[in-house]
Amino acid sequence: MAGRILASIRDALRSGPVAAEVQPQATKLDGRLVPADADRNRLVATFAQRAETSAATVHVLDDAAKLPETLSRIIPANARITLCHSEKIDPRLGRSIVSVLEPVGRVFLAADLDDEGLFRSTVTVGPVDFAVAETGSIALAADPQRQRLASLVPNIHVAVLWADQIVPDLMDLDACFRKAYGQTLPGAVTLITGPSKTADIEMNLVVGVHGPAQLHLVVLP
Amino acid sequence: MAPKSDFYSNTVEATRKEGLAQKLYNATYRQHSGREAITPELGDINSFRDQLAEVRTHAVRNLDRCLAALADNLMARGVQVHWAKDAEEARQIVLHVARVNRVSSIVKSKSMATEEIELNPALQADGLEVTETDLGEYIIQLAGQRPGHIVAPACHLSTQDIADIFREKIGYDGPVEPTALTMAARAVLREKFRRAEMGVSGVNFAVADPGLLAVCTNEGNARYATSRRIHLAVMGMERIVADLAGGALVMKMLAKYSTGQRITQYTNLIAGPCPSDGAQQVHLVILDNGRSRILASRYWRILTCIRCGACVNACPVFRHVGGQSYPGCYSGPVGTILLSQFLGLRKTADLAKACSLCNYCAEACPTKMPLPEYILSLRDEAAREGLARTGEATAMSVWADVLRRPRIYRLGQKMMRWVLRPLSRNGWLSWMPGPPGNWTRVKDLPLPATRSFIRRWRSGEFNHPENADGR
Repeated sequence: MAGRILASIRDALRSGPVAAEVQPQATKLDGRLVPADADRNRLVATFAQRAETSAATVHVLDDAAKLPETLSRIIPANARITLCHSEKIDPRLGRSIVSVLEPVGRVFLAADLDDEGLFRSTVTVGPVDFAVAETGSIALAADPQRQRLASLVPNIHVAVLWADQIVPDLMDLDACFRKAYGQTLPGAVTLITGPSKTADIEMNLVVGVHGPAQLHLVVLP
Repeated sequence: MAPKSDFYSNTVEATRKEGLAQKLYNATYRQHSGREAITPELGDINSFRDQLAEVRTHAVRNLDRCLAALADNLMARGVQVHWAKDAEEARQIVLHVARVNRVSSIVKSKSMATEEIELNPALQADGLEVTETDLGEYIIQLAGQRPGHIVAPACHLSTQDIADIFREKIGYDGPVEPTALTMAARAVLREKFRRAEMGVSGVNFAVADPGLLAVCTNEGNARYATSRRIHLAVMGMERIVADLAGGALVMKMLAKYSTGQRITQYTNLIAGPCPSDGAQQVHLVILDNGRSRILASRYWRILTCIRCGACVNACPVFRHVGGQSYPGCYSGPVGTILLSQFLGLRKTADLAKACSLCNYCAEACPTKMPLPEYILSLRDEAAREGLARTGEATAMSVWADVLRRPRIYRLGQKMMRWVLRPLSRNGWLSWMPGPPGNWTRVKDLPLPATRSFIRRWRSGEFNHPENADGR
């Protein structure tokens, strides 16, 4: 079947006007909106501003030691927390995120939960693979910590990222993929920009239609 | 000679529907002004449109190579790639995948390709439970309707209409208010997501190398649909770009031109199965269904469309008649071209004739498709094929004869005023007898001027710059 359809495409390209109207080679794209050499402060500021216009809440911390206090402010009491970080000590943080969250609520590791367990959580906390300043987006790959599904089902998603994970522009996607994932792309990567939203009823904006109603982005220095 | 089409009678009915034009105007104007507010961020907007046009025309020019690379790259990652010549083949492939995997419940995220092949009725006839999960699509599925807009499927319905539908179909008893209605749908759909074994989605665009399928939603429903045990994506075969830079450009432009966002809230890039956190099986159906015929025709640039809906929102005809009037799931300017190619000119000539040639769609289009030229060309084809309605061909040939005879033309002008004056009030006609009455039923017509343009021109009235505005 592939052959039959590809053959009819080749016929059409041969007999139709396309080839005569289009140059065979495309010119190199210059679609950048945030310069490649933008400094760290500018990237954090652009990322924060863009994410907030997409209805995310951004917490830019000047000291990673403020993370526990920030998380306890964001996460409501009696939360059932799904954690997508590993249990290990984060070398840059000097401790594990589990130890940060244990005083805040009941913590379950995403990798240990079945669908049922994931659907019951009220908050998910997780890392990001990289972030994009231009659009205020974070990227998550499908992984054994199940961060794609875990970040979708609860009402609140808290993503913890480091400032140096923010790249300038969507045009950097190729480089980001190589850096974050090496030669083999994960089965799925999701770019997340703000909470779940819809305007399908007479253009009225409603958040939290299928995914989280709140997206908190905590940016560590 | 062709009879009046369904489209013709649908438009007449639509213009009489209380409140429809206002709802359509609200929806299209909101998206249209969203686009106008965000696109200045692109700086040189025209250069971005040129670049997107180039990325898309280049992919179409190399469609065979792009699709072959996509299929190879995806298959290397364990994706099962299927090719469908037409709608029937595509439906059979989906049914087959569902049957072999003993699927009973399917969740769908919004996909115009699956609307095009009328997938849902086929799946339901086979005993499968199919649930649309985009809120707008869910609403129209409950109502038993077709999408009224390629981006905002339920934009022709009011909050009250939707509350009535929910009351009747899902026992809703809450307030007539968007948030409460949305939460009611969320509760129902959560359960459907949880139980479904299979998710069916469209493809906003594919990247040939590395092989990726992009599925974008604001609601997050495609994140579910792509995370069930089986994910099956149906893709119109032209929806592809060569590389990630091209993909990034489509991402930049798509949301800006459709809803005035910088990027869609969720962009899923699928490379293959991911048993721990996604689908265990991924299937892609590459759909021709008339596209290779379009590729060989003068209308080939319609294949560079990214389905943003900007032309639909810009179209004054669409704003009055709505997507439900069109004889297929596509509507507005892009729908006029696509449906003419999918359904044939005999069924669709009236779509092209409804156009006012205002050119607004061409200005709105992010890939610079020559929509008005295509519409004119369809009209030309229709005339050549003798598809004019009763009286239309005669009227046009009389008109052409008159235009060729200046004296008769001038006499006609004089007589026109003389004949019409008794019917007018304060220089305006609100009623005319016979076929011209179709015009005055919806619009007033000014009485022809006392002095014709030619007489004013000859009198030298326009020679002086200060009179150039012709008052």
